[in-house]
Parts: sequence; structure tokens; C-alpha cells
Amino acid sequence: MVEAPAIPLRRPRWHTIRRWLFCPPVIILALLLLGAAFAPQLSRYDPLTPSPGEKLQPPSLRHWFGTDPYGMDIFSRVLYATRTDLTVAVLSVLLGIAAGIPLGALAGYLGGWVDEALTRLTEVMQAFPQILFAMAVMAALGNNLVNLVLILAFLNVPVYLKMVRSVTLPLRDSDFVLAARCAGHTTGSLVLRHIIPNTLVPVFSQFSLSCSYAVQMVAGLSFIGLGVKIPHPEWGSMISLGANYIVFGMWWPALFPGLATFLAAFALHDLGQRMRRTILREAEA
Amino acid sequence: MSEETLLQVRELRAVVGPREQPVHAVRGVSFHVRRGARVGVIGESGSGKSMTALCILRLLPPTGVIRGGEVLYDGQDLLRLPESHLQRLRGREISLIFQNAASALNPLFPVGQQIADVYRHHVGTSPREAWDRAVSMLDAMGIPDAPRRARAYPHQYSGGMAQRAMIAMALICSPRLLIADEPTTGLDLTIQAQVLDLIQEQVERSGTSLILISHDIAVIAEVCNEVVVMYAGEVVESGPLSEVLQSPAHPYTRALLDCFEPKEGRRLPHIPGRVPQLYEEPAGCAFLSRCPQAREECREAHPSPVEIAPGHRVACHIVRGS
Amino acid sequence: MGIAQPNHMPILEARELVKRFRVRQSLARRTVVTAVNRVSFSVQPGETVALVGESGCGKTTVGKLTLGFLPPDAGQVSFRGKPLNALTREERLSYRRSVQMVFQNPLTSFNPMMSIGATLLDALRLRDDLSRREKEAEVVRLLQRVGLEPEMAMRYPSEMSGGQLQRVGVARALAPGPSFIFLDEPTSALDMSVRGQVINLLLDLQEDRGLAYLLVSHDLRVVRAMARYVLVMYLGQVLEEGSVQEVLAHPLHPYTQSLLAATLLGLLAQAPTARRVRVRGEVLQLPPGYQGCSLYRRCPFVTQRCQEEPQALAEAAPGHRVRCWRVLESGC
Repeated sequence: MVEAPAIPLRRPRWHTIRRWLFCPPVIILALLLLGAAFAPQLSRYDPLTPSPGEKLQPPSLRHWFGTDPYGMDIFSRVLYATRTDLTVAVLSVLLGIAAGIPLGALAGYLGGWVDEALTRLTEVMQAFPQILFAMAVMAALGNNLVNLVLILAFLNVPVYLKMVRSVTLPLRDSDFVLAARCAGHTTGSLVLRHIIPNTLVPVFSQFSLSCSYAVQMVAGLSFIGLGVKIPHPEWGSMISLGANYIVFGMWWPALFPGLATFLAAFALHDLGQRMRRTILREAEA
Repeated sequence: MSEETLLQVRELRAVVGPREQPVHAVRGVSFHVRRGARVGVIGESGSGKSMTALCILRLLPPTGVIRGGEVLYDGQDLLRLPESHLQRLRGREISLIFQNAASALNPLFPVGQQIADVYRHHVGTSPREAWDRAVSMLDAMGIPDAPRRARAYPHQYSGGMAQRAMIAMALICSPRLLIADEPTTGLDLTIQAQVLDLIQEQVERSGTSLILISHDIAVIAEVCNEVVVMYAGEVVESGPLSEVLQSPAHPYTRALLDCFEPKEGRRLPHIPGRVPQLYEEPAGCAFLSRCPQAREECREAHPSPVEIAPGHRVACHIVRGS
Repeated sequence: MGIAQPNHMPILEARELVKRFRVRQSLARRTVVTAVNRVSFSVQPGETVALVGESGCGKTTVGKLTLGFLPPDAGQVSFRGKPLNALTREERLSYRRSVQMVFQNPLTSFNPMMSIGATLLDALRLRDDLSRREKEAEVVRLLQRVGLEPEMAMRYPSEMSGGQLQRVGVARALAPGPSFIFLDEPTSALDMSVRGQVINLLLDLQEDRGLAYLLVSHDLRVVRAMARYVLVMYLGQVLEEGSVQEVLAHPLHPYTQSLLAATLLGLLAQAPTARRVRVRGEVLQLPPGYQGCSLYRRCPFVTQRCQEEPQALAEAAPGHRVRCWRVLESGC
């Protein structure tokens, strides 16, 4: 007779690892990140050095993605832009999460006027079109990278606040929270030790999706000239620069940064969806 | 199979869980239900009693697989019947009541309509007729103001009311066999007594046979006239209720009954350890590790059931030895 | 109350507790439900007082009132003779440590993200006298005290059986060094064969440490094994109270009789003293302003008088009080 093993053996299953490691979004993201990390090695050109003699060269062996109207190498600029776009996107989402989780947990746990106030505030924020809000604030505060990160972070707060709040509500009345109060927890320590750790799974599954939206926002704002300014390598501003030349048949200055934006947004979004599905399945089982 | 046997379960085997390491949940279960009999199945959680019930109707969870045996209902083997045929039997001839009635009702439709739909589906009457029949069933179940309550939605029913509605749904087609899996667990004590009264009364009046699954011997003693004691996926003892209650033979049955009727004194009887989850068929007796009387032969050979009195069968080396 | 010895101060005493909740019935309508209606009891060291009743009878609210998680609307809870709202800061801390709880459902009363060891360490947070290392040693001692292997500290709640988890629940309640534990149906989620294990553990601990228990249970077998004094509650009111021996052997209120009959059910044949009484229907909330007996539509013996007169809790036999005029007048 073999009794149930005391602790279910949690061997890391190779096929699970392989499934995640070799799924399309992970491969795409890995390539983008590698490209960004090894940009200096991969490209012979500085992304910021114009070369007046080589303006608007089509893709060739010398310039794989061609050159832009200032004669800067597009391949090099796309690689360096990955650094800008992904850093801004990830940083702003992380900041949004850092603010959203405690606020959401407090709103859900305390209820009453705190909850009422925070919920109303998020509703007001979410009722306002995000891109307009970002444009207005950027225009008012001046467009630089720090402001861009802060605004995108601010836009992410309500998403996580609401999510964490809704997960917290049923936890508030759960037995283990009452047990924690018996153990002498104060509100702050209880929320930190017992509530927040139980809200992280949905937050984790939303993270990748939020990054995807943030990439689109960064590129979008920069495209209309309110994000990253032009000589700095950034996909959106590169697209806007190249867009003027499409009508003259010069497609490469806009196409390659556009492709990179699309791939990054798509991969992050797809990864998020996959994580969400997996978590739902796990929760069902 | 004799004339009066309605259901005969023979050597039923089923496993459940991941394919690499399934649990042997039902291991050679045999028992029979005579027409009009009320059979109680008792066992702790993990004894395989609910799995056995689900096997009878082939309603196992997705990870469950029936590995053998037969379930003869009226002479035909339910395990080998085409699914479409079985679907006609479910609800019409064999009905099932679950533990959690409130979650078994669809929250989007009025309770009365859900009951009427079952009747229409199986009997094929007009909606009007089915509705009237559902209302009269609810009324018979002791639901006050049935015509009005039938139009209410499940969330407007209390736990006891929902369980009454479930019983109405299970009995509306006058089935020949009712399987009730922990029908009163989670209900309040006074409600529990009423629901059991109701089941007994309805079953007796319509001549339906009953399989009542419970972990509480008091519930089974209230309703049933025969009892099957299950442990770790096996039947360890079965027989007429009064006989088993008064002279339990298997050490497990004795220990379990002790738990329900503690003698005077401050300490409560219990069975040390817990029901094993069997990933492999044991060579000997599954109760071995918790049995106070275990001997060498219990370790080596699997006990097969023997009849120690008319209809009273026990699977235990010690009983056979004495 | 109880078998009160005048020189013993009760650890916890509730006097005339009242708690009302406002319940929203629909968008417009709100009604006030009296969850606990003038309930009094006192618990001495080493003694168990039992609250018996069905869902909605107010048992859990009484528990939360005694644990100090809800303020009563009237009446008061006293800890070692001092009302809760008069406790100094230090006394309040001592009260927090001394008054603990064991939950009904072991599967929901543990933080799924915390290992058993972390849970017990967390429960030791008010033990300022212990260093981190001493706390870890204490976790091992606690696990051993409730009959579990120290290795179980590494497990997560989902990896344990209900019986094991309930032992951890007991260990968690012991951790701060309590003198009073509120036991909220500590065995009703467990298999019959393991209920005895948990109850016997609680009895041993009571003997060792002189713990006082307030036990909520509808399993009268458990009540008989553990408690000396019992209060039978229905819709927030005490319907009958007295020593366990007296109340279970001679239940006077029809509701108590029906509870007893419902516990034993088919086993009644072996308990000829118990009467087979059934109350009818479901728990009905009382109409506002209603003064009569709260069991009025469910009692098999109901008469006009039951609905009209408020029923008082009065002594029917020495130390045995009942809220039913029929019993009090006829003595049946």
C-alpha cells in the first residue's frame, strides 16, 4: 500500500518550462531585448550621429534598414529605441502597480468613505479619454521622459486599484483575516501581510497587458510630438518622421520602427493573454 | 439476478486523478438494491461513496475513469449502454440529488420553470401542464404558497427550500431509483430532520428505491432499512440496518459507530489516522493501519466478504476467523 | 452563573449583550435585525460554556462581541472583571493576547499564501518577550503540542487534511498564550472519525492550562463531552440554559427537544428518554414590534397565548432556566 506522498512533489516539469520558453511572444520579446542589450555590438552606427551625405538611403548591406532624412542609421535607431520604449513602458506600469496595490487594498479593506472616495476618483479618471489626458498634461508640464513615465504610471493606477480592490473585498470578511486580527495585527500590517500577497496573481497576469498598452501610448504620444523628442531614438517619433516620406515611395523610415512597435505590443499582449488563460485554468482546477 | 432486484453493482472499479498517478477510488464495489429498498451508504470523506454513485450514472468528473465491473439496472448494464440511451434514463428513471442544492439550480430561471422543464423533457407534455405539475410537486414538498414560490428565483430560496425544490425536481418523473448524495449536509439541524422526513415519505409513497449516501449514521438510521459501509473504495460491511447497528462486525464499522454514540465521560472516541488515498492496490486489508486488531494475515491477504448472518456480509479476516 | 464559585473571577463575562444590524432588504427598505438580544453568560477558568443553535441564531455575533471585534449596542463584555471599553492600553494588549479563536472551516481560515510555519510565527507577533529564534522554537513546540510533526511547518494549507489543519488552527489559537478561546464549531467540517481527536486535544489543553472555552456547536455529542453549562439560542435570544447534564437529560423547551431529536435522529431508538419533537418550517425573521415567542410559527405546541405574551427567561428547576410559559406553568 502506498499512501499519498506527504508533500506533492513539485518537480519543475520540463514540458511546462519548454511550453513557456518557446511560445511566440516570449521569443519575440527575447529577440527585442537581446537586440536592445547588444545594440552597440549589433550596429556599426551611432543612433544619434547624422550623416548628411547618406540621407534617405534605401535598405542595403551597409544600412540594413536604410537611413532616415538626417542620414541616421535606422537599424541602429530601432535597436536603441527598444531601450527607450520598453523602459518607459515597464517603469510606468511598475510605478502604477506600486501605487495601485496599496490604494486598492486599503479601499477594499477599509470600505466606507475611503473606498467611496477612491472609487469615485478612479471612475472620473477612467471616464476621461486617456490619450487626451496624457496630451493635455504633457503639454502643460512639458514633454520630457520623467513626465512621460509619471503620466503613464498615473493612468495605470486606476486599473490596479480597481483590480486589487475587487480581490480584497471577499478577503476582508474571510476567516483568516479575522484570525490575523486575533493575532494582533493592525490594519497596516494586516493589509501588507495577509491581503496584498493574495492579490498578486491577478496583478501579475495584468502586468504584461498593461505594458503592451503602455508601449502603444509611448509611441502614440511621441508620434504626435508629445513624448520623446526627435533625435532621441524612439519608435513613435521615428514613425512620425518617416511618415512624411511614404508618399514619395520611401517606405523604410516608417516601416521598421512601426514593425518594432507592432511586435512589442503584440508580444506583450499575447503573453498577457496566455498568462491570464493559464491562471484561469489553474483557478478552475 | 432475482426478480426483486432493481440495481446490482458488481465488482465496480474506478480511478480518479492525473493519468500518471491516479487514485484507486472505487475498488471492486458490489451491492444490490431491491425494489422499494432504502439503502444507506456510509463512509468518511475519501471512502469512495460519492464516486460509486457517480459511476452508476456514468457522471464521473473528467479525470475519472471506470476500470471495470458492471451496473445492472433492470437487467441491462448501464456501463455499456449508449450515452443517448442513458440520458433518457437519467432524471426519468434514476434521479440524483446533490449536497449543495442552491448551486445545482440555474440562477437565471424561476425554480418552478426548471422543475417543469425536466418534466417536459422526459414526458413531453405541454408547458402549461408541466408547470401545473411542478407547482403541485413543490406543494407536495411542503413549500408554502407554492404557486407564488414557483415563480421565484433560486437566490430567493433558503438552503432548506432549495433542497426541497431539488427533491421535487428529482421526483417529478416518478423515478424508480433515487440517489441522494449527502442531501442534508450543510442544512440546519431542524431543517435536516424535515428534509429527511420528506424524502422518506415521498420514497415510500411512490415505491421508489433509494440510495442515500451520508457520513452521518444518524441520517441513514432515520431513513434506510439497509446499510452499506464503505472504506477506502471498498464495501467492508453490508446488511440490514438494525442488524448492522446492533451487532457491527467489522472493526471499522464498530469504531465508526462508537464515534457517533460516545459513552459517558469526557473523552470522545475516534479512529486514529485517516483514510488512505490508494495509489496502488494494497495487498492486504486497507483498514490495516488504523485497525486495533490487525494480525499478520491482514497484511498479506485481501479479505473477501463472507455472509455471517442472512444478508449481513463482512470483509474481514478477524471476523471470519472467529 | 455556571457553577460560580465566589472566589473565582470569571475570565470573560457578558452581561445583557444586544447587537442590532441594519439589513438592506431592497433599495428602499431597510430593517433592523436584532442578532443578539440580551444574552448573558460568564466563563470561569478551566470551564466550557456552550452556545447551541442553528444558523442565524446569533452565535457567531456573540463570538465577535466577546473577541472585541464588534461593539455591542447595549450591555457589556468584561475581561477579568473589567468592562472592555474601560481597559487601559496595556490591559487591552493583554486582552488581545488572552482571547483567541478556533474557526469552523479549516480550509478558509488559513492564508493560502503562507506556510504553516509562517502562519504560526505570525500568530506569535504579540509575544514581544521572545526573540526570533525563540519564536521558531515555539512554533515547533506548538506543532508538537497539537500532535503534528515539526516538518509540517514547511507545508502549505492546501497540502494538509482537514483534521491536520484544524490542529494547526488550535496551535495558532494557543500561540499568543491565551486564557480564553472562542471555539466556533471546531469540528463541524471534520469527519466523524477525526472529530474525537480534535475534541480530546482541546480537552487535554483545557486540563493542562486551565483554559476557558466558549464553544459554539450544534453537535450535542460534542457539547456533552466538553461543556458544563449550555445556552440554547434562537434568533438572538436564549431559550433555555442550565448545566449540560440537566439540559440534555431533561430538555424543557420544545426547541431544545427538537434539536436533541435531530442530532440523534434514527439513533433515538437507543435513547428512549429523548422525545421526538419536530419544529416545522424554516427560521422566520420576526415582524417588527413583535413581542411574543420567537418560535411561534414553528413550534408544534403553539397557542394563541405564545404570540401575544412576551416570554421571560425564568427558572423551571434549580439552575435551569427556560423561556416558555407552557413549561413554566405546567412543569412538563
